[in-house]
Amino acid sequence: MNHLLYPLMVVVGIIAGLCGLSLQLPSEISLPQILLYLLIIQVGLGIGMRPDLKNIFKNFKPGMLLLPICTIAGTLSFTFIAAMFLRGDNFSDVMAVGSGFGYYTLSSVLIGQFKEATAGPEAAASIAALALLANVVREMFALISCRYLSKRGYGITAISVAGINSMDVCLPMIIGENEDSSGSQLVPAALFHGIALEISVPLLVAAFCA
Amino acid sequence: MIPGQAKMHKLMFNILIALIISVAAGYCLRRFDKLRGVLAISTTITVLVLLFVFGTSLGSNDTIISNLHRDGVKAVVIALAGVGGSIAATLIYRRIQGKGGAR
Repeated sequence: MNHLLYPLMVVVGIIAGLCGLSLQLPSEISLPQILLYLLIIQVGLGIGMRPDLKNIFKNFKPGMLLLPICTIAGTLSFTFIAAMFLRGDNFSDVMAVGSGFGYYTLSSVLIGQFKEATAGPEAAASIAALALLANVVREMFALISCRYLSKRGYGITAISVAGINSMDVCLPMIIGENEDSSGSQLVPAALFHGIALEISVPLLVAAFCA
Repeated sequence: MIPGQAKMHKLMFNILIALIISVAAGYCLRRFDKLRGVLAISTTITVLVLLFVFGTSLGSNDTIISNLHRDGVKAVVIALAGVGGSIAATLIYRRIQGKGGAR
């Protein structure tokens, strides 16, 4: 449900903006920044409060890190190639956009806030818009392809393609119909993958914006 | 150092600290089941407000609106690169993990 409501909210916001609505607080701190902190705190609380968190870490094997590392390495290396073709853009900006792994809410606002400090509000807004679009599109690709990949026995690939969404929106598609056999084996991997990427998004975005 | 860079580093630092503290706080509060439901709702509301505010900043920016079609193509290229990279990397992963792996 939320994955339909969220993009819709952006569209409603854009229409409101086109109609002349501008939300500026008469203070030093911007509204998006306050909301960003609120979101980060709630995301952190959500990770910490997961009832399965202890289990995930109790059953942790160093090998589990391999899948998120694969996703990060694969995404970033292909984004690197894409960045060479998108010549008009700053190289590191494209890399920062690519490091959203489909987490469009957090990554777009993070990039916007980081870039505003160094590149000014105009450039920051356009990169943030690109981050939003690119990561929404990635989530859509993931939603479409996860079930197909998982059905063909490529469950691990489905998790990786889903990016951050492997732990929520795409999880049902990754498990698929074979819930009893291979599907249940994929659940811990999908959850750990999502959490690992959720933590790595702010780190990678910050690194590419610096 | 550019003045803006110091500001950005401060923001990065604050965000990371906020993330670490809130994960720890969440872990301490994990027994409060009711809080989990409240948190799910409040997170959804925060995201909705955030996306709305973000939408207004896009809509009121003429440059972004006029560049939307160009950015759309770029966005698809970047998203495809991410998906393609993930597929390629996991195919290598499956090789490493052996034929069966966690199929």
